[in-house]
Amino acid sequence: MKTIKDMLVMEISRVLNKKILVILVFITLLSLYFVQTGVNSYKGIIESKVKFLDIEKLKVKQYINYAQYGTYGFRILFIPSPLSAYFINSSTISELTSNVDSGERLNIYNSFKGKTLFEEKAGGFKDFAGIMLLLGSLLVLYLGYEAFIYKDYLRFMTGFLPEGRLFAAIILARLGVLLFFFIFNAGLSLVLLKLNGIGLAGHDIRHLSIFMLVLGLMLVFFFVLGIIAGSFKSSFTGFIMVILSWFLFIFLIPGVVNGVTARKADNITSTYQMELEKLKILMGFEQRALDQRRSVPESREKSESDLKRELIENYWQREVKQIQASEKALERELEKNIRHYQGLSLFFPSTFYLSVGNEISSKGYENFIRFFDYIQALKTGFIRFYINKRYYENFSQVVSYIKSQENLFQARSDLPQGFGNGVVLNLVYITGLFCLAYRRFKRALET
Amino acid sequence: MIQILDLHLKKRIPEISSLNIQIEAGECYVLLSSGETAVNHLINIFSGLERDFKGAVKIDGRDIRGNWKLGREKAVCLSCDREWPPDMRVRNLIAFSRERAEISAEELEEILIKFNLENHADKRLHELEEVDWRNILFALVLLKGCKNYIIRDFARGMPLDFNLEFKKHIQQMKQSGFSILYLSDDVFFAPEIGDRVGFLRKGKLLLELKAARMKKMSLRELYFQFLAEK
Repeated sequence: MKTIKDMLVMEISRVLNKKILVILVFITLLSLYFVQTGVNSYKGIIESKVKFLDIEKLKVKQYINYAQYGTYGFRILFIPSPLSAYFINSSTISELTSNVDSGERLNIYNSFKGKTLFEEKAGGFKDFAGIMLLLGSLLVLYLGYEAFIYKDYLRFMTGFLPEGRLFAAIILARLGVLLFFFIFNAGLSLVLLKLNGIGLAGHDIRHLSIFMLVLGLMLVFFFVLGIIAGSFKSSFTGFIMVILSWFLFIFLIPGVVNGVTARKADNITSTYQMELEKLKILMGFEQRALDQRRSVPESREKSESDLKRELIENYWQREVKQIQASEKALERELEKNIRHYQGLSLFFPSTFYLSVGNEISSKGYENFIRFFDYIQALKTGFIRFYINKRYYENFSQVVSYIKSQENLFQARSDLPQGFGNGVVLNLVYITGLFCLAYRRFKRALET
Repeated sequence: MIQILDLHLKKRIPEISSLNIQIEAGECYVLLSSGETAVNHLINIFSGLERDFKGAVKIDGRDIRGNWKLGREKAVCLSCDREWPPDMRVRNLIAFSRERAEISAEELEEILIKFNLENHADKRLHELEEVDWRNILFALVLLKGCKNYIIRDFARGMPLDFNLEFKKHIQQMKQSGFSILYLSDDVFFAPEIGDRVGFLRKGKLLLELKAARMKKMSLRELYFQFLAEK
């Protein structure tokens, strides 16, 4: 035990040389800078939330009748979780708004008007999670590669320790330093959040811990890849392996997974097609309304308002349900594609990390589906509210459908489907790679 | 005491075959070999890294096969190869070896002073001169306090004063009852430090001479004797 402890001290002092310290400080500063950027963006959303609520209230006051309210409707703002500060650039959604009106269309959009044109777009590395993936993986690959390339030193050390213990001591020392560094970084980022007045709820803390676990798994995976690369007889071949595996897992595989998902998404009903379908439903209703009017005998003396009510109830019972069904069908198609992406992402540690980060950010696919569901429910409620107000009630002033803050959608961090399977798969990879690395280490010592 | 009894290497080219060497306590045996492969195999066997062999390798009368820990504890391999982490501090290496030192406090102190270790403690390995580096390596293996040494061509290419100093250390080690197997290809240096010199060719021990006799032989005589054995 004492030998292992001394070995750890020796390895730690070896790892913490000037060169590595500079890199660690650089990564820390860069990640903290991006957390601060994320915090600014989050605070911007929270500040705009108050403005948004005020403006939405004022808008309703401008309407003279419910026909106007029904036409213009109201907007719903997507409010991310504070954890989004860590994923400001790498999550799927950068900003979302939806407009709910009495019409057939359901709009979810990302506006490029005004200052939002210049905001960071999603899908990059310029945030805490992205930096950890891009630079963290490169750093651990290097430290893994460098751990076992000095064969004479290792041979000398086998005079003091059996090779198994030597292997374990070097790995434990290096992983200890690395994991401490990344946990320390996460701790610093939490302090930064606190300094900015952003508190994390228990749910967020739990998900941040899960994210750190997945980050740890991803880094250990890259570390072992580095060890394997370092066991090559030629250090040049090993170095090329490091670069290739980094490029493969960070750029190529995520690109392929996204590409496959995008190709599969081509089969999803297009919004144009869907709008046409909805228009057909509406036109069908219009035609039916005209036919019904023509066919009503004069003698029945049905009042105009009764006729309208009958038609609108007919519309509520039939067309609204049909439109809702087509929205649900689209949602199912989206969900199917999301599951496909999440399933595919499980197989590679880097894509698994991206997929988990995406959902933990609260700006991922799960929250998009939840948002979609939420606005559909709101839209149904609003149409009923509109019908009641316009066709059944007498009114002197237009009253808002929104009673408190229903037009704010509070997203919360989540986990992708099959998360447990992803963790197990990662552990299997890591164990397998460790066995391979140990075999290569022993062979490298012999030659 | 180091014993190599009828050693055969399996599946290796060139193989080591029928190698028999016995090195008594207080003796230095120089094994001359032109290639590196056989020497590497021998070092790996003593380090417990190569286990696929026939025959027996004994240290202090005990077979290391199946008791690899014993091999590591009772024998130490010393090589001057410099594939070491350049950023490692000498202080850490000394501390590590000091913890493991199986020698008395006086001996420990003597080694630290003799090899000037404390003066280089704050340096990183890449900052060391070759002479200092070899001194430190030599000191580190001495700190282990073993009685059996397998040394590979440690004085090769070094200045004369280093070689003289090294010879002195070997003499002292012999006087202290250490067994030394010195692996080299330097036919001139071999009789200087060894008591017996063996000639290995294609994995076979072709010729064995007493150092005193070898010193008296001319290079021509030595060559003819070698050819006769071949």
